[in-house]
Amino acid sequence: MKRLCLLSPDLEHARAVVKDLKEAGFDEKHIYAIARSDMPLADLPDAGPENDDFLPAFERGIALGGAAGLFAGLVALAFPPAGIVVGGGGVLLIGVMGASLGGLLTGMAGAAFPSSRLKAFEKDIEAGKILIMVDVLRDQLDEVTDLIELIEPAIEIEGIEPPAPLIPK
Amino acid sequence: MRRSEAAKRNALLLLACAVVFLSGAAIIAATLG
Repeated sequence: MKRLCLLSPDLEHARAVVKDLKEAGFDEKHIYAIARSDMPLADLPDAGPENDDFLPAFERGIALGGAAGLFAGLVALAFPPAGIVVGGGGVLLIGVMGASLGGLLTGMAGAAFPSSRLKAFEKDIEAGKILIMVDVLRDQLDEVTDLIELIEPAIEIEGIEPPAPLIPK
Repeated sequence: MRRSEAAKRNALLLLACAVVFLSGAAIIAATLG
């Protein structure tokens, strides 16, 4: 599954392209529309989980927290604190606890920020354009691109969604 | 997935993390007496 990004110059074109996509067999749950906060999207499908940075931040938190927890566990194994014997289970437990704490904290923080993957489109969205994303299968990509170019030439096709940066700016 | 479903999923993930962390803390506390 790849996420194709399209920029619509206005609401009318956005509505039209969403209608075309639905007619082409795409389920509404695979279509996301993002606009400036003061623009009413009304009947367009909202951005859902793509609106904030929760998931990328959560994944980073799990990975970094887990790594830090494992490291702390290994340090405790090598240098037992105050005579407490830490075994392999203890190292694992501290690793899992680190991952869960990392996920918890960064997830909460990430939910407060707009999606870092959509940074590239921020200027266009601020300028009043509407970002439409649609999940398509890899081998359908050319077909969908051609279809949109043919039916809605005003829509700018921006290609595949950029990956989340490791460190959000 | 719409916004309300996404918020529900996020909350569940955070809750799961909190449960795992607190369980770990409880195990450590019980082990240390």
